[in-house]
This record gives sequence, C-alpha cells and structure tokens, in this order.
Amino acid sequence: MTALRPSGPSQPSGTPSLAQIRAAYQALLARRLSILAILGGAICLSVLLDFSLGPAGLSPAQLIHTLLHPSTVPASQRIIVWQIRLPYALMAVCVGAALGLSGAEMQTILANPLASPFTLGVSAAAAFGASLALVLGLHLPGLPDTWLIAGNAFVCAIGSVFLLDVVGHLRHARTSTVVLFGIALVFTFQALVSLMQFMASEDALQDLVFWTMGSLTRTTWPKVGLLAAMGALVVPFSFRAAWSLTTLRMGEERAASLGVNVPRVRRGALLRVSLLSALAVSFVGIIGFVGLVAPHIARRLLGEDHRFYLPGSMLAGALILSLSSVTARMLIPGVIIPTGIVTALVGIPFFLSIVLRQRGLS
Amino acid sequence: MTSAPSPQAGLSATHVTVQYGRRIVLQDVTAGPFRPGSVCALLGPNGSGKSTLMRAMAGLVPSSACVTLNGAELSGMSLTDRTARCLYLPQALPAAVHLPVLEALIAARKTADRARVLSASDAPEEDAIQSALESLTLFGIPQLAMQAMDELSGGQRQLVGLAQALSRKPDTLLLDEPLSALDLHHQFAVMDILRRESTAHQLVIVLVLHDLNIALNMTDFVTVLHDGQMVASGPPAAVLTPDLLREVYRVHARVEEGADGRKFVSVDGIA
Ligand SMILES: Nc1ncnc2c1ncn2[C@@H]1O[C@H](COP(=O)(O)OP(=O)(O)O)[C@@H](O)[C@H]1O
Ligand SMILES: [Mg+2]
Repeated sequence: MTALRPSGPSQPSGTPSLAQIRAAYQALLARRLSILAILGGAICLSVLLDFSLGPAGLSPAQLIHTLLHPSTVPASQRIIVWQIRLPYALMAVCVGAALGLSGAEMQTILANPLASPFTLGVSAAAAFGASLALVLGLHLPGLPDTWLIAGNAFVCAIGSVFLLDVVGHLRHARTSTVVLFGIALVFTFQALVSLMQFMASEDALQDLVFWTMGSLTRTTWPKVGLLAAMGALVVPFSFRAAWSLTTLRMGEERAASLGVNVPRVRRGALLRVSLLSALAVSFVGIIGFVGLVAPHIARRLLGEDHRFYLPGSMLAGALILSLSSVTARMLIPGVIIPTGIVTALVGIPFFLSIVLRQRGLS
Repeated sequence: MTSAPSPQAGLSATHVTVQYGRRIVLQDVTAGPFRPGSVCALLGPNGSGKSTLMRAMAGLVPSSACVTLNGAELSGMSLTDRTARCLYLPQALPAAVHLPVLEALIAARKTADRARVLSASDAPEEDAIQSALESLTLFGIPQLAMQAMDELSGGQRQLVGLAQALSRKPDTLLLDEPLSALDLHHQFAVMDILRRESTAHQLVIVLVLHDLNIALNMTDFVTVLHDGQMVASGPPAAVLTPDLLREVYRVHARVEEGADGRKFVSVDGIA
C-alpha cells in the first residue's frame, strides 16, 4: 500500500523528489530549444549551400560581396544572386515552413496523422485552379499576367478548405468524416485536372504538367514577400493557441471539459491553414511530402507540446524543402529538376531516420 | 457533513432533458443536491444516461437543464467560467500522445491562456507546474512526471486524467467511471483520496461507479438512473435494495452485512 503514499516511510526508492522533477523538466525545455536551434542552423547552412551551388557557382566570398555591395559587381552576377538565387532559397524556406505548420495544425485539429494540405485536397484544388488558367484561359479579372495562375490556384485551394469546414459543421460530422471528404476532394480534383489535360493543347499540357510537378523557379520577390507577410500575420495566432491545441490532442471531449472552445479552435486553425497553405501551393505548385512529414519529425524530436511542436514543424518543413532545393540543382549538373519531384526523395530518408528511432522523451 | 447544510449548498440539476437527434436520452431528470464535502455515486446500467447527465450538468451538451452550484445558476456562464467551477472528467482515457505527463497536467491548467512559445523559462507556468506536481504527488505518481503519455498503461493514464482534473482545483468534480481501468489497490486508494480531498476542501464530488460494493461502503449518497429517468436517490444502504437491483440491474441479489458492519452485494443470478 505504498505506491499512493510517497510521503510515507516505505516510499519506493525510485520516486524522484519534486526538485529532481523540476530540474528534469527544465533540462527537457532546454533540450528542445537546442533542437530548434540546431534545425535553424541547419536551415542557414542549407540556404548557403543553395546559393553557392549551381551552374554559375560563385564562391562564398563572391556571394557575400554581392549581397553586401550589389552595386560594385557585374550586372550578370548581381542578377543571378539577387533575382534568382536569393528569392529561390528564401521561397524554399517560406514554403517549407508554411506547409509544415499547416500540416501540424491539420493533424491536431483533425486528430489524424495523415492530414496535410496535400492529402486533404488543398494541393489538388490548387492544381485544378492552375489548369483553369492554363488550359481554358479562365482567370480572375484585374490581376497582372504573372499572377493569373497563382490567383486561380489560390482561390481554388481556399475553396477546398472552405468545403472541408462546411462538411465539418454538418450534423453528425466527425473528424474522420472531414478526413474522408478531404481524400474524396483529392480524387475529384485530380480527375478534373486529368480532364483538363485531356482537353489541353500541346503547349498548355506541357505547362500544366510542369506546374503540377511543383517548382521554385516561378519565384519572384513579391511572391516571397507576400508569403512571408502572410506568415507574419498568421503564425502569432497559431502560437497563441498552443495550449488549446495541446489539450485538444488529448481528446476532443477532454479538451471541451477543460474549457477549450473546440469548434472555435478548429475553425481558427482551419482558417490559418487555408491562408498559408493555399498561398504556398499557389506559388510553387504541388509539393506534397513536406506538410505530411514535417509534423511527424517535429513530434518525434520535440514531443507534442505545441509551444515547441508548431515551430518545430515549421523548421523541419523549411529544412526539408531547402535541402530539396539544393538537391534539385545538384542531381543533374546544369539542370534544375522540379522541386516537387525531389522533395519526397530527399525527405524519405530524413523522415525514416528520425521516425524509426527509439521512442522516448529524455 | 457535520453541521446542517443550507438547503442551497451543493450541486443540483433540475428538469434535465437531453435528446440526441430525435431520441430522448434523459427525460426531465432532477438530481442532487450533491453536497459539499461528500462523495456521491451516480449508478445505473449501461446506456442509462449517466454520462449524458454529467455532461449536461457540466454544460457540455445542449439541454434544458437548470443547474445550480451553492445557489448560483451555472447555465448562463461562459464555458471557461463554468468548467473552472464544475469539471467533468470524461469516461474515455486521455489519448496516448507524445507528451510528458507533467506537461499534460500543465496544459490542462493553461488551456484558456495565451501560450508563450519558445520560452525556456518556466516562470510563467510556475503555478501550473506547482499544482501539477502536487496533484501527481497526491495520486502517488510523481515518478511518471517525465514519462510520455504514450508510454503509459491504461490505468496509469487514468490516474493522470484524475490528476489533471484535481490540479485544476474546481469546486465540483463530475468523474465519469474514474476507476474503470484501475487495479483493486488503486480503486480503493483513489476513493480514499477523493474522500479526503472532498472533506478537506469541501468539494462536491459525483462519480459514476459500477462496483456497488464501493458505492455501498465508500460514498455518502447515490443516485440511480434507469432508461433516462432517475429512479432512486439517497443514502446508499437505503437505495440499493434487492428490489431495485432486480428492477434496474436485472439480477437477483441480496445485500448482506459483514461482522464489521460493512455491507456487500451478493448476486445469486441474473433475473
Ligand atoms: N453522441 C451520441 N449520439 C447519439 N446517442 C448517444 C450519444 N451518446 C450517447 N447516446 C445514447 O444515449 C444513451 C445514454 O448514453 P450514456 O449517457 O453514455 O450512457 P451511460 O453513460 O449511462 O452508459 C445511450 O443509449 C446511448 O446510445
Ligand atoms: Mg458512460
């Protein structure tokens, strides 16, 4: 009868003191911060690598010189660094972070480890939107030419999340209903895109196929800026909801009984996810793997306290996509392979090496 | 319950009618008053509406109920205020998530707060950490503090769920089958803890039980539900009669008294 009376005389020797528990928890928090710092450092290295590799390989010294004193270098070098390399490298980081965060929030609010912008139809909807512009020439009025495809993709992607939200609010709907509906959306939009491909002219077909492969080469500064601004707007709300989301992970009914307004938390998360992921996929096309696996990597490395899990998912996503961008340049010299193709190839070994490790927090 | 309680003291629910779709699950149930400082049992066969009644009292299902705590109406309060006073512990165990037990308790305390992301200092969480540690110690599981929830047994997770609920320090606890996954020792130990806490802090504790012997000997008041209606309520020995057991639980049973005055239900067969 000792187990429940640790203050009694026959206290089991394995029971730690409260001070020890506090110290262990402090150490865990510090360890998580250092893991986040390592991920951040790895992203910086990867971005540098992304810069210095490639057809017109510049040395790091030349690179830094070009970044710091752009007016003193030849125009060709300046354009390569400032108009091509830098936006690509930053776009990889921003898109990876956006998809990582979106996947993490989706997996939490839908209580499903397979949820992500890709598996629930956001990417497929974006592809359908792009196909409307590329094949049928349908697009939103008033947009400049370079934004037509992204504009369509964005509208369709947002629309698909809106449909998920509507289904989630139907009577008798459960989270599994939403996930199933999302998977149905994937197939529906894929079928519609196939139909577009079937009807497309040869040129349009080529454009469409290339778009769906997912590529960073469509990056421009305004797009990077818009995505970063959206992130700056949305991410604080995600982080602020961290405790509610952590509680939600322990069960919907439990969260509600602890005072979490579950429908409101869900709806807020879905709104954030729709804005971030729709913008990301509309700029780069279908890059599937990141949003699915970055949360799993973060969960394994950091646990599911959303104060760390959410930023961890962003960093893991950014790192995978940045490494993919590097690989896309390196695989075939002189050719930049569409990033969407490379992502899974790069991500899977990374994913397996972390997820198959021994479990445990300390 | 030494001094005579005022008639309003405790938790009362009147006119609780709940329907899921077209199906009426609770029909004009009146329950309570569940008195501060006591431990009360909510009994009834599977599907009789025990969980539903608890959810209705906690304000988690839409119902026409009028619920008062010490005379104050709970129905009009916001969910946050209401759950801070009257906490429902669901029947399902906490999910096996990859989260240390200590943090699961901290999160349960901080749900309504804005999180400070990326803060290595635990200063903002100090009071939550303190009450989490107290609660783990109360249930004798401080050694689980740094273990992940997904590495615990079902019974251990149930203890963590209980610790979560008590660390919030509400006035009223509605515990839905809190002993379902526990071994014999822990069933009695948890009942002991709940009785002590209830007396010490004048809590209202209502719990769903299936073990009638625990209800007979370790609770002060029982309410029996059958098919969505309240069929009896009062002191356990007065309520749990052979007639009621046959009527509600469909068993032929006797209530016997041991030499030490403890009562137990002896079942002869199913009715
Ligand atoms: N979410 C629900 N939707 C529809 N019916 C429900 C739901 N929850 C419970 N019920 C029904 O309500 C009745 C009472 O359920 P419950 O309160 O969980 O019973 P108990 O806890 O006493 O076993 C049961 O017949 C059950 O089928
Ligand atoms: Mg029940």
